[in-house]
Amino acid sequence: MGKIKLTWFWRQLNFRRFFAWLFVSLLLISVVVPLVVIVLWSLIDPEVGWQFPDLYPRALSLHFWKRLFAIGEVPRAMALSFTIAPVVTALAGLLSLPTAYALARREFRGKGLIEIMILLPIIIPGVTVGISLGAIFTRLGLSQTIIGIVLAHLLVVMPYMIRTVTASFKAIPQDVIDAAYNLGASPLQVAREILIPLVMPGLSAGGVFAFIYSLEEFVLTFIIATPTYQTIPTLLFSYLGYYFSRPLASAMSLLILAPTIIVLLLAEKFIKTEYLSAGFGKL
Amino acid sequence: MRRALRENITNLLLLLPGAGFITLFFLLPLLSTILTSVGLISFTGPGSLTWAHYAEFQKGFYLHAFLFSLWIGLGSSLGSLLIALPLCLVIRERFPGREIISSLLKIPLVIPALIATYMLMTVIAPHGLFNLLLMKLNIIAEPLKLIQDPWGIGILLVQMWKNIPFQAVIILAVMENINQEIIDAARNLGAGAWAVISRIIIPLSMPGILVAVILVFIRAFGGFEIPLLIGPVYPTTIPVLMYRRAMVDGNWGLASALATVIIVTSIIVVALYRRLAEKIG
Repeated sequence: MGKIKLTWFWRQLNFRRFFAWLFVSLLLISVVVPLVVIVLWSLIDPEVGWQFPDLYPRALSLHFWKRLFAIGEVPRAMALSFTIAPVVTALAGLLSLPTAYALARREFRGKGLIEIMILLPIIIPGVTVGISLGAIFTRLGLSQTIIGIVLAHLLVVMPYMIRTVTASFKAIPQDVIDAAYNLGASPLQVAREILIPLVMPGLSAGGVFAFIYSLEEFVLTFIIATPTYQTIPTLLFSYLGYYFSRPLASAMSLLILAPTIIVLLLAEKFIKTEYLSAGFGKL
Repeated sequence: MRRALRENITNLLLLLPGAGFITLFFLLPLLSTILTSVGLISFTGPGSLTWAHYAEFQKGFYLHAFLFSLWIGLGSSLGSLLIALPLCLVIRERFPGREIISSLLKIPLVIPALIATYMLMTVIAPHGLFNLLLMKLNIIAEPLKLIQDPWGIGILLVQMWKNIPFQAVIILAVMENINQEIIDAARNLGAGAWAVISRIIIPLSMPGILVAVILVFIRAFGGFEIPLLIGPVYPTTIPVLMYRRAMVDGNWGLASALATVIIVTSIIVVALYRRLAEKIG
């Protein structure tokens, strides 16, 4: 009897599947629980609070959300973050197109060097150039300006955009372009009717990175724009320090998280993973 | 001859917006940082070549910071790999809910470091949910000190939380490119599941695994927001030290020297990677 139970228990398939499910479930819990905790913290009732031994707050209220939006800085920071992000995305797309085209489809000396240089912002942490960039910007009069913020965000975002768009350009079969020229198309027409549409996946994937990274960028924005301009991350930073209020900080975090998670889920649905991975992909 | 010239000019113009931008706004500040560290550029007046800033590193203090940063880099990188690799192996299979689970697990990717740290701090703090549950289940009597502890456990946990999906995405991309025929052939020759994994899938995924490890090491080594919020006051990581020297002490030269250490370390690591990658072919 004992032997039969043992063999059943150790049967390969069920054993492995159980642990696989356990593993994935634990990971899912570790992702979801912190989010839920933050949501709960943003919703606590100021009269009741969330005292220590309770596993969840006894009462909920929208009090802190209302207070959040009553603080003048918050809608301003939101407006700034959500205006800068699309601008950065669009600019990154435009600026990267010619370069990506050259990298993908043209040969020239020093190509390897240029490729390495484009990788540099990805492999070298941003903090290292933050201070120098701040100094340079001050000398150029770009410190404490919105243009400065946009340029800083572009810097963070460009390598990813260039990589995804280059991957896209590489995937275009030469036959299609040749056929177009054979049929008498001008370079402009080829660019407009063939290259741009076929490069959309790369642009979209890069655009997703650009949007998300711009929204979340902290270090450079902090160095360049504080205290004149606040984006949501820099504002949050100040609320994590001196004015620390857990419910407010939680609500503020959710202000950034909600749109970025939505963008992620949309991107997952509509963009092929190859392009998203190319953004991260091989060095 | 003229054709070649025109080609070159066209290439240059094409490269200008993207590569030119990065040259101007990244390469230049990078060089500026390195030059500041040796005194050739100075924020406070005319500069002259000096090794004084690097001489500061003789204080044991800085060695601790460097070792601590290395520990954080390696710990985050390898710790994440320990979980990301099995995750990739599981996600490869088809199972119900795979799409949704895969998307949900990618969420930490898009959560900014500052917010991720704050969120996880709330959960693993002494009075947070995690310790609460462990105490209620009588697994521990006293809360575990997971934040601001001298081993940087808090930093490691946050880094791993953020980087497991990051590594998984990279490795999975390489894994999915493995020719299914190779796996089928192995199966036909009688290889069991474990043999397929250890002899075929993992070796063929090595390029992706290497990239994943390198990238996370660099990010963790040079990471700033996470140790700032959740790390111990001492020892601390080099980026935080840099921040303190620059913003609190106003010692730009020393901060630049520290920055240069980070830059050099990152470059060495990537160079090592390229050597390794070539060997693996």
